[in-house]
Amino acid sequence: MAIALVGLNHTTAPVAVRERLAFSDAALADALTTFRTPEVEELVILSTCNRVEFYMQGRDVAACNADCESFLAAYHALAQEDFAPCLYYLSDLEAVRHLFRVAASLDSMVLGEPQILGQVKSAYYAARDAGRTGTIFHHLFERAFNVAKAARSETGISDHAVSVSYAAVQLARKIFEDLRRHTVMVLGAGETSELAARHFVRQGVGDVFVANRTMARAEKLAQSLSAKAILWDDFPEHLAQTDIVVSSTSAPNLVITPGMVQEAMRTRRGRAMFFIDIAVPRDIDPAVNTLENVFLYDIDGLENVVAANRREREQEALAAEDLVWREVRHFRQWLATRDVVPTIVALRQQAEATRLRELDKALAKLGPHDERQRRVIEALTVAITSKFLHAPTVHLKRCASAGQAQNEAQLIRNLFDLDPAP
Amino acid sequence: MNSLLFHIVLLAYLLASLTFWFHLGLRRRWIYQLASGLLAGGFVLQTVLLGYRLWTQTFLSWDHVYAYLGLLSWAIIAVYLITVWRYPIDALGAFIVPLAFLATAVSGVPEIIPTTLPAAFRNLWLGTHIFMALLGYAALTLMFCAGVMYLMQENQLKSKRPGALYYRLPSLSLLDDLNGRALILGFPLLTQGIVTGSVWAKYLHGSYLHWSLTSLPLLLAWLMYALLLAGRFALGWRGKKAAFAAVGGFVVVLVSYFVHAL
Repeated sequence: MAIALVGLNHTTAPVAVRERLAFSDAALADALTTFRTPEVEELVILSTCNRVEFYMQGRDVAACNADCESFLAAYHALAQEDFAPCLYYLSDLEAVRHLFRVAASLDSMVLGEPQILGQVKSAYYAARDAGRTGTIFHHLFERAFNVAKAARSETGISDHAVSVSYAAVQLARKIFEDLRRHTVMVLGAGETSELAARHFVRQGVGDVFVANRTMARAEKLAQSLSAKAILWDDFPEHLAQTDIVVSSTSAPNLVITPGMVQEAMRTRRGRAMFFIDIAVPRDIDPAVNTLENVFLYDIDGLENVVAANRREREQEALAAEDLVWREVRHFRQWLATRDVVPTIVALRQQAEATRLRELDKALAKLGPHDERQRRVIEALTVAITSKFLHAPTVHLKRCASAGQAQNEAQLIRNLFDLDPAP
Repeated sequence: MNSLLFHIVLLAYLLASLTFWFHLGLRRRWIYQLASGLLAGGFVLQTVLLGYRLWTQTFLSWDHVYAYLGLLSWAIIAVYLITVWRYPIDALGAFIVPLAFLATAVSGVPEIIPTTLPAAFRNLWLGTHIFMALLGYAALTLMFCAGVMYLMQENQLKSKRPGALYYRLPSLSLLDDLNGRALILGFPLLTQGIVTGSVWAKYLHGSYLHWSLTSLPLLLAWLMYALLLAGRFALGWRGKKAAFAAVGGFVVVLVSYFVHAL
């Protein structure tokens, strides 16, 4: 019993090759039924925009790989040389580790992305519904889903924002803690302003004001955000009630000056303010950042935060890799225990068969005997066989948890002749 | 009395401090739990140690600064544990536990000959006075740590290049809030400390205004608290100013204590 993996992803194959080998949902269902060879006992096909992978369980890894390649060539009407250089081959525990890493989004283009887990789940369920999975893949994929969930909840790989709008919200949280009690003002009603404002609204910010030179556009945006529109000329007065300002106007010169902010801060008695300037050319005078308890981030600043977040995710990935390794070890143990269970069962069955045979023979030889004598002799036979079996059973189980089961199991099968030649 | 128990407590606090620093760096859950466990263990042992000393009255003369440091470190940990229960700030341990460790370490420096206290010192007023004053100081220490963390995080945010600390420290508003709360809770404690201290002074020396070793720095600490309160609520000192003031106030009290002890 072995696990084989054949696949390609965004690091080994260009999109031109990936798109030719990908499977749509319909094609996937079809492939799951048509790819049948005696070598492949269990099968799961994973096909996303960034990878195509065949997970197979069978006896002979090389044979499974060969069958898979010929199937791909035939199904997609390609010559094998066209895609063979892009393929990677993994087997047994390496394949297991790869699956766990993929599910936990450690192999994705964007580390920590949430879609891949759903995609792996769909691939598994499709294979299961097509009847191509058995106990081993059932257990394997269940463990993969667990690792993925643990990686997301116990490490920070999915924590940190990797887009500019999210980074702005994250910064706001580092200043204000609870956004629900704070007010946002949006200057400029263009697409960028709208995007940033929407993120804040989605994160549960309190009140939102929209100001734009053209009142109609301000009102339109305000309506879609359930916000209030204010007159452009009024916005400096509103600054004092605003905690967060998102500015993205198309004005060619500065819209917010240090003087305005100082005035607002005086009225606010020093409560913090956060300015996000996503306009080019910039709307807000950079000198505003020098004011006490005022924080100003322009596009470059936000990009710095995004880059720092990406580095943080990579750090967290190390913890996730540890989780994956732990899970791989557990899976290895599970496999090993599976190996010994049939042997233990066979051993016990052989012992029991011998015991019953010899018991009957002995009782026949004994002649007339009462119930009590019969029970004593029966108990004797049971005691002998169970005590005799105790040591090998315990040894096999211990070997299973140490991962050395296969050889030991085979040795016991040989010693006790559990697989007699027909 | 540098018994074995004292050394175990000291070791526990040292290990807890180091583990909290590790957690600040690596941020794994189990490291934080280990640090908390070490701290809790050390705290329980220190409670036993101090309780035993109080019970057997083998304490040093109450005039001894080093005795106070031992009690102060206990008060700091107690304040930390209460704080972290309401404000789950992971980074706080890394700042405040080392201070408690230092206080404990210094308290064990002198070779102490146990003496029995004269009857005048076994007084409830004295005990309450010390207890209140120490909790007040512990709150001041908490404010100091909150202030330091605030200044670090503020620096990170102003620089527009978030570094490692940006992720590990809580939000500015939370730190400022903590600063304010510690002030509001610490001020009455310190006030109580002064009031009960005066009562005891009257009892011992016949006058409410006896200047002994500890009263001058205590008065100074009270003044700093009063200043911080006025600053925060009358002058609108928030955020950076309040943080600076908390750090400055703590340093002033610390220095005054050392100067007075020399």
